[in-house]
Amino acid sequence: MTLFSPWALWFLSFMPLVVFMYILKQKFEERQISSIYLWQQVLKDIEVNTPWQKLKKNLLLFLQLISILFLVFALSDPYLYTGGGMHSNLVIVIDNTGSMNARYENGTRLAKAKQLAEEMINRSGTKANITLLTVGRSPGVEIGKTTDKGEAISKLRDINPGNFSGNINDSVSLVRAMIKQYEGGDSYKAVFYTDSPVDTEDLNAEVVSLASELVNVSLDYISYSDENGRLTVLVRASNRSNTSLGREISLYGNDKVLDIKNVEIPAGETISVYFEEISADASYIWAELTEKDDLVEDNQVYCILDSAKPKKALLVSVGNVFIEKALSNIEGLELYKTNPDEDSYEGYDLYIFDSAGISQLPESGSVMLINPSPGNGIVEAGAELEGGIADIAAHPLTKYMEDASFAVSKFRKMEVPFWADVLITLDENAAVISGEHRGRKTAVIGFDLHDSDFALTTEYPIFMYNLAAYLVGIDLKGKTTYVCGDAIDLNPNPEAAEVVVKTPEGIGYKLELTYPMLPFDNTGQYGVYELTQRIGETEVVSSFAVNFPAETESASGKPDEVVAQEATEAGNTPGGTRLQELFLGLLLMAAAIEWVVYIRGY
Amino acid sequence: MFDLSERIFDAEFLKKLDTIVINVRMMMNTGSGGNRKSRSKGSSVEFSDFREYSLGDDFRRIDWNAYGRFDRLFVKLFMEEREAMVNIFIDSSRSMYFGEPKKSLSALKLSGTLAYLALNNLDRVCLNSLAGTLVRQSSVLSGRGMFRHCVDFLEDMQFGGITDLNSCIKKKEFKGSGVSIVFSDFFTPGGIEDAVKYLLYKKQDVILIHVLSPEELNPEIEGQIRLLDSETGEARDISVTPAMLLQYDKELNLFMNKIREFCSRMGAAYIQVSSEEPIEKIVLEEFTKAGIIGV
Repeated sequence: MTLFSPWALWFLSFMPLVVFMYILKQKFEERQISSIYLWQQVLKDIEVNTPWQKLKKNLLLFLQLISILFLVFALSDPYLYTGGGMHSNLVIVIDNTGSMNARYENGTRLAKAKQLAEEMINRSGTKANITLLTVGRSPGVEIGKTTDKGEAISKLRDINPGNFSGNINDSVSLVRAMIKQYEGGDSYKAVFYTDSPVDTEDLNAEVVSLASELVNVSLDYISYSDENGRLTVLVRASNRSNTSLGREISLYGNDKVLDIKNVEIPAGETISVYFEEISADASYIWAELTEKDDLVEDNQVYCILDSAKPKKALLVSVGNVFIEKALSNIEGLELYKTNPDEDSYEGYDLYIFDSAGISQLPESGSVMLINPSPGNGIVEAGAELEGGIADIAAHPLTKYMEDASFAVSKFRKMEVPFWADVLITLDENAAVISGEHRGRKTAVIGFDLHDSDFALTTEYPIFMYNLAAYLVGIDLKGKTTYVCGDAIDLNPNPEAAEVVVKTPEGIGYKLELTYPMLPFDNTGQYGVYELTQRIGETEVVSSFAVNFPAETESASGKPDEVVAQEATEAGNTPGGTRLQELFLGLLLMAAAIEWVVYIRGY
Repeated sequence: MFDLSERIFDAEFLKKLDTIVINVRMMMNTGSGGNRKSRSKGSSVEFSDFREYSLGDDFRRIDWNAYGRFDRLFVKLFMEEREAMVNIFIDSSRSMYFGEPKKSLSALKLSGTLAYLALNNLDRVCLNSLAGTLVRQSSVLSGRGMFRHCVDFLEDMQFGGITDLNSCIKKKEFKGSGVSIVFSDFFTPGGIEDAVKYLLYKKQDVILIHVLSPEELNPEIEGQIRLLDSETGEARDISVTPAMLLQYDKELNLFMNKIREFCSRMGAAYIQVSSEEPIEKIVLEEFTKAGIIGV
């Protein structure tokens, strides 16, 4: 045992003083009585003749001396070594990935981790520096280098469960970086509370394993195909347990039950369950397991029903990697290529003629001309002119291009038709125009992309996206299914004045319409999110689904994968328990007993 | 000192006392006609009672009718009217001069009262002061006019030193039966049993008046106390606790009950009074309840 404040022991010198005062205090008040005859009978068994015997029988004095002892020990802040390793610095890492929501004893793995971490903090020395990290989708610092245990525990208790997929090993380098901050090479210990294997490398680290065998079936995936308005839905379920399990899978369309199937899944196996002839009258479908198990977060999976078919675009070109790359990355737009040998083109939503002659314009669909040749039938393309630095005109299609700066070596002079808007000029000559010509949305880029560095700018893909979105006519559907923790590039309509995302819990987030658009990362909750865009007077609502990362998290936490580990260095002194509070409690008790004795006059 | 006549013998109290008669159980052997029926079975015409014949009895008193009925010899006893001899003993040790109000004051007042009643009843009275091992007695007083002498004697009484009641009382000479009343706190080494037995042997109706002060009945002390005995000067250091006071109470009750039981066995009367009780209350209630006097 050690005393953190041994100076308090000086107060022990008060004890002989108290005893001395007590002896002095033994003054007797003289009282003459008629006869001590009766008192002698009373005192027959009581001998209080000498001061020492009086002291021996004096309960109050004893209690006061005991109280002084307790007070002195409490002030001296005693610490009882119980082993484990007391260190000057303690780094606690809490795994807060989705798998930590699994059942553990009477709570969850995360609750157990928090409880053990709190005990660790309480056992640490009075002046220990405590750092608390959590690992969700990425490592984060909850509190750094604090000696205030109360604050550290408060932060610990505030850690909320997460549904993210993450890797505890990502925190090792952060821990190493934090340790380097500590001065003078003080001893430290890093403690990882996790259900996943951790490679602590050369750190003086302890790994507390919270892995356990679970009874768990997860729904990993849901998808569908549409045949004339009737859906065939595929749901993939995995049995993560060691025994075969029977489960009931319910399929919902929005809030309505569409179908229910009972399945038997062998241990460790994944099965595909098909729901056929499902009515498609819903905006999203989702599947759920009826039975609750050790990890309920992976018992449901969501999928958005695409109301719109993907758009098809045909690139007529000998080869233009800039166009291909820009357009092929647009979700919901399928890009096809062809050589400019065809006489006619049909069946696409958008035709892109790149430096290609047009013998006959398609009957329907939008058109984009790049480096148009004369006689294209859309614009009057004149001679080639020397280029210059591009000027971007203010237009919805040039949104987020305010800082664009690129040069064009040569371009074709164009007569700007009455139906077109000028988007980009070069030396006051129209270089890029767009508009609606005879009911067909049309855009013309008056230069070969190879003759400029436009394709190398960051604004280029934005511009191509805007143009494609305009030419195709509706919002291009992006990806609609994500996992918890994903940062989602929402790509709202350039003309949207306000964009709000509502989470499954009903929390609305108004997005800042900046360039570049920040990804939306409040995807901690699984379910269906709603994206509302206000464009002019109308509101366009779309949805996307966020699912629990079952592939990584449902499979995590097998006991044989995680090895508990003790810290390699014992540190300068062994760990233990502070006794100050114990002595304070004893002091209060002694004071209470003393009060009772005094009142009752024992 | 105090003035008995002024504090006790006001006109109203004296009027009340006029109707009180001291009731004595035993009849007097000798005497010349007091105002009270003596319990002493004498040779007057008024039949009183029977008792069994014992050797030496006057055979003329044998009741032959009773013999014929019970086939055993009984002698008749007759009531005889004669005056009683009342001896009042007052413990004048130092311990009696203690208390608030003092026990000595209470004892003297009660003695004066009883003396007055006895004189008023045409009984003879002798006051006795017990000090050390000696008894100082007054002359035998008779008649109401002698009450002043009682007062003088009582007023002259000094309280001090230690009194051995047994030795004192045993030194008293008795000429005949009568009533002996002892006023004391009975904090006396050796007790009072020998004295009571002596008095009974001397054919006395014994009445013990145990006078105690409020401080002795309910001591209100606390803390560290050095008790000093007022008679011996002996000191005792005590640390007063509720438990100790409880024990004192027990001892006090034991002490009083011991005397009470002894008196009951011996046929003596025992009354315990507090010095703070009013004299009227003691006389009219306690004494009446004990049968010492009748209204």
